[in-house]
Order: sequence, then structure tokens, then C-alpha cells
Amino acid sequence: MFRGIPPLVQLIFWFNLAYLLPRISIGIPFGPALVSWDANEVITPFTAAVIGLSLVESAYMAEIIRAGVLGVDLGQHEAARAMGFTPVQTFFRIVLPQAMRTIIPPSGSQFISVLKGTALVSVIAMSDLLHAVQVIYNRTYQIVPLLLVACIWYLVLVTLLTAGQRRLEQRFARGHERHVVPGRVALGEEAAR
Amino acid sequence: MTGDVLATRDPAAAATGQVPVLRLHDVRKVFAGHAALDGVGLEVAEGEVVVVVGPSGSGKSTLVRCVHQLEHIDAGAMYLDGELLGHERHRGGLRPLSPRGAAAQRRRIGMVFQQFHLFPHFTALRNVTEAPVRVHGRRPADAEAEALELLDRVGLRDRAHHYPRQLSGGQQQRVAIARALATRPRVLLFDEPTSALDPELVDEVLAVVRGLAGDGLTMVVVTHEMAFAREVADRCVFMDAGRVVETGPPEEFFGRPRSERLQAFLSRHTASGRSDS
Repeated sequence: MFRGIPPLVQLIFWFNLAYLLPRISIGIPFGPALVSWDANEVITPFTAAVIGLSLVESAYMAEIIRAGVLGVDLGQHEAARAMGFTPVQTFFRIVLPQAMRTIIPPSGSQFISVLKGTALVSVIAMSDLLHAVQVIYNRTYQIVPLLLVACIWYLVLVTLLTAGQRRLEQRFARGHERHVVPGRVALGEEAAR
Repeated sequence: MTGDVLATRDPAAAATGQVPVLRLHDVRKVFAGHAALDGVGLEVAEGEVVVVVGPSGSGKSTLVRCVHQLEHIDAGAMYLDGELLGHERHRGGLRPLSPRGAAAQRRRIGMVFQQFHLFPHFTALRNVTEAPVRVHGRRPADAEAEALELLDRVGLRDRAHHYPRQLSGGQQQRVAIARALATRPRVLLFDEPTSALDPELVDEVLAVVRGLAGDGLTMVVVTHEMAFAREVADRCVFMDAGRVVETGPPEEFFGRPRSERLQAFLSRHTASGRSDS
């Protein structure tokens, strides 16, 4: 469902949740409420942004992780089980580390798209990068120069994220290098002596 | 389920006083209406090497997979050292073991797969040490020293720090054998260990298995290598259509097969030249 509705619509919806649910309370079902808040106070632009963006992203991420886990050869599950690993050990020691190889690249794109998605929250008066720039150029009328500043900042952040992604990919590519790493072989021969 | 399996100890063993390492009693396994195992009985004594041969689809791979509880059996009983596999006593009846309980039993059985199934993200050494350290709680230093010895035994000590992808198929299978040995299993199961290998790599793996047989390890080997079967087996088992058709010592089994089906099977294999390898 969260993948089916445009993120912008979801953001505006969460921001205006107070119309639907004036009070939000945590309590025992059909029993007394333990805590209760006025929805207008709880749903600030910030909480609406966090709820809206994270629900959309978690829906995509769940699919990415599922695809990664499904991509691990069934034989790996069997080999781990055959060696006496419990299901939990099998998942965290054997399956997930291998799934990470296929999980990381699309996750990187998702990460970047969230970062860019934050520009959407300017519509609910959340002071993100775009909103801050808008506030300034409404005062100074230097629209294009300030939009360029925003562009540069987005590019810098995305570049940093991409570099981080590359490092993660290298870490989880262990055992998948095309060529023998010379250092490793030397190590192996040393240990053999 | 028949009455004599309503106990977690092997009733036959209790009666005779002799406990085989592995005993299968009337094991049945059905896949989508087709009986893959149709009442299989088998006993494997301590130190015995049992080689299972048969045409594809005869149920021989299913047999070892069932012993290892990678498949659940539909009827019958299996005992390891006289202990029922796969079920535990619960309120006067039997219930399937929890995943944890099944894992505990699997730790006493080793398995070598046709497709090796080494963990590609670990080095050869780590593949061998992982189970002893994580599952059996051995000290990493001890496990590593032992793993290097095992890799030495399969002739791959100098490849300890290579990843599986950097090894040939034969080398990978030898690491897989070392990995299975590292848990000190009571019985080692081989599911067609050389079927996925290039012909020139088969011998190095068979040499390792031959060495293990010489060391007195209890093994059940499913294979298509007839010459090898004849050489290492203490006892040969011929399976067809989910049943054990004939069993006997290798000289008799290959020299004077009694059943027509085994005769036909052996002549086919000699004609195709597979037994020459």
C-alpha cells in the first residue's frame, strides 16, 4: 500500500492526520488509555516527514532485502543446516552476509532517493534544504543562485553516500573477486609453512 | 507409524545388545504421490563403508538426505547410535523435533554434497572452522589448528586462505570433506561427491575418500563410480524405484549379482565405460 500512493500525497496525509484522529492515545484495547496526546501537537512537520518518508522507504527496502535473501542458493541453507547450525545462525552467519552483495546496490539507490525525497517535505513547511533556500530567496529575490547552491549541496551529499556505498560493496564482495589477491596468497603460503 | 517405533531408543538394538551406528527401518518418503523411498531398511555398523548405487531416480540421494533430516520421512524410523532421529518423546507419544533439536542431531552426522556448497564468503580455513567454533563451541585457536591438519589431510594446506571461488571443483570438494570431518561426525554421508566434477578431477576426491575409508570412518557413499565402489565398499547396496533390491559384499555384488535388475544395471554401466574411471 505504501508503495502504491505517491510519497507527496502520503506526506500531506500524515501532516493532516489531526483531522482524522484528533487525539492519539496509547492504552489497553477497550480499556483505559495510558497516555494521550493532542494529534495537532504530536504531528509536527518533522514527525509527519519521518513517518511519511520512512513508511514509503521501508516498503521498498523490505522488497529489496527479500529479493536478496531469495537470491542465495538453497544449497547454502542446506549446507548450514547439515553442519548443525540453528535456523537463526544459518540466517545471520551464512545467508544474510551473502545476500548483502545483492542488497547493497539497490539500497544505495534507495538511500539516495530518500535524500532527494526530503525536498518533498518543504511542502509541509518542514525546514529541509530546499525549504531553507526558498525562505532565503523569498527575501533576497536571488532565486537562481540560491537554487544552484541547493543543487551543489545535494550533489555533494549524494557523492558522499555513493562513496560509502562503494566501500560497503567491497567489504561484502569477499570471496567474489575475479582474480587472486596477491597479498592473500602470500599470507596463505606463509601460514602453510 | 508401527508400534515398535513408539520409543526413542532402537528396539532392535535393545533386543540384540548390538547398536549399529545407523539403522533405518522401513523408511518411506513420498513426493507428490510418487514414493521416492518405498520401505527402505539399512544397517551401518561402526567403521563400515556402505556404498549405495542405482539408476537416477532410484531414491539413493533421497535416502541420505532423509538420514540428515533435510527431508522429513513419511513413515518408518531411523536410529543413530540407537537414538531415534527426527522425533522426541512428548506426553506418551512422539512429536517431530524442534529445529533446535534437529540441529543438535545433525551435528553428529557429516554430509558432503554433490555441489560442494562451500560458503563463498569464507576462506577455505574459515569454512572448516565455522561449525566447530559456532556450533560445537571449540576455542577458535584449537579449531584452526585442527582445521589446518584436516586441510593437510585432503592435501590443501597451502590453499587455506583461498576463497572457494579461487579453487577448482576438486579442491572445493576436498575442502567440503575437511569441513564435514571438522565436526567429528559419527557417520559421514556422501551424496554423489564426484558427479559435478570434470573427469580429471574425480580421482583426487576419490583418493581422499579412499583414505578416510582406510582410517576406519563410518561412511555411506552414494556414487556412480563403480570401480571406486568395488574398491572401497565393505558392503554395496543397489537401489531401484525406492527400494533396496540387492545388498552384499563387493566381490559378490559385482561378480555374481543375483537380481536381474542389478545385472542389467551393471552391464549398462560397464558398457558406457563409466566404471573404468
